[in-house]
Amino acid sequence: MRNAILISILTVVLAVGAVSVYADAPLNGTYKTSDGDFDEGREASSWAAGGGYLSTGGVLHAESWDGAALGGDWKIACPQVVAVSLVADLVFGGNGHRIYKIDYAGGTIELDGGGPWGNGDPTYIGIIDTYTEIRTVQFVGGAKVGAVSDHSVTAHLQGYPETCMTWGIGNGAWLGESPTAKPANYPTWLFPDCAAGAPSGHWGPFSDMTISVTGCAVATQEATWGSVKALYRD
Amino acid sequence: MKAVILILLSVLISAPALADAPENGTYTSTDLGGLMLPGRYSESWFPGPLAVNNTLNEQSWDGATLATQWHWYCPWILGKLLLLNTVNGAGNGQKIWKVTYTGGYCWLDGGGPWGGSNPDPSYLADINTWVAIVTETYANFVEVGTVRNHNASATFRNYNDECMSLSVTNIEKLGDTNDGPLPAGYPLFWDWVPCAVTATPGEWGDIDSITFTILGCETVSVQEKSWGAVKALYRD
Repeated sequence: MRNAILISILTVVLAVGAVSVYADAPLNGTYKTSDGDFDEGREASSWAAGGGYLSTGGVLHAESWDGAALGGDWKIACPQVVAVSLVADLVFGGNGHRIYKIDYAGGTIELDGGGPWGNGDPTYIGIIDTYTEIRTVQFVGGAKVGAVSDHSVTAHLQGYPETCMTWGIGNGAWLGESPTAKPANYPTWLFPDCAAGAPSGHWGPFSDMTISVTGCAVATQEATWGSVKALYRD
Repeated sequence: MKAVILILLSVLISAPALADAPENGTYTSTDLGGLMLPGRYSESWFPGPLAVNNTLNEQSWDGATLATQWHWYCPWILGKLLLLNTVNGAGNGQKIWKVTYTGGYCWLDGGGPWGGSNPDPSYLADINTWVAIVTETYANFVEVGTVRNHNASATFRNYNDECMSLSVTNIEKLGDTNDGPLPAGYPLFWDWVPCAVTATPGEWGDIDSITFTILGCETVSVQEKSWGAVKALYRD
């Protein structure tokens, strides 16, 4: 019996010691802007030199917007467009819609530790694994007059096990583009190295977001040696 | 000669019905800085999400009342195509679908921003194309969030054949009947035939980021002519 108790105590101590490494991992769960869990945002995507709205090389930059400040809840920085493919062409005589699949590579997603997923770290940095945008563009007389997008992103959180991931979806829309001047209170246009100051791009809202955090360790409670022993009285 | 005159007269008599075409232009919803109301949607299920024959019902929402400005109703699902699937073995990830609809109608109130100075009480268009991009996110094999983009084209009735509308919208699903009944203030579930209210399960949510274009519509101007002036055009 004594050996069994010792083995049990050691197992508990080892388990507590092991999981405490992940004590600050974000809280698993699903969070929605429509439930008021966190703020919607704004996007400003730069264009590569000589490129445009549907070109490779552009760099996405989106941040939460609380009505006064950018980036309080979350940021997506530097995924770069690596492929643009036409999914459907419904344009006839210059009028109609085209649907594009836009693949990005690289970049990070940053979740503020004060968000609903917060569990002790000041911020959580996710390394983006996949980023896909499906963009539907409306043309009239051959000219773009509007566009909407579905965004989806997956990322693994830096400093935690590979299973600790975040999954985000949201809607985007086109509001304007160069050479019109970008309004104040939109994110900066970024170069591919993530430096600010790219000269051209487009911008719009980023809304209707759902973020899921999965596979991250559950927080542990500190326990005294006496309380652990008390669990295993004869 | 008499036949020609009769044809001309019939044109003059019928033309006033075409005098109030909706105004060509691009209109955006209030969240994009325009005058168009955002909206709400429901989609009836036959019997589950994204199934063939599921039917859409989309209505403007002014914060108190549905369908005071616009109403798109009764396009139903023909089929769907999976564009991307990142759901892993633990059931976490995303699926993106391209969903094709057919049928349905677009109703616009004449008092909307397309009404101009002399609008018809309302305008009705037949939907030509309707495509949805649907992005679902899953956690532990359970769908926990869905966003959609819709695009549509429609041809107005009673005007020239080129009188059309184009639209793109963003949509967020907020709930479905697995969670509880359809809340008040959302469009009712409709079926595709006969395009009327039905008692099925379904889903609902919000619509915004609308860009709506009216193009190719012609208001045929008519000048009043005396009978003598008409006859004068056709002197022997």
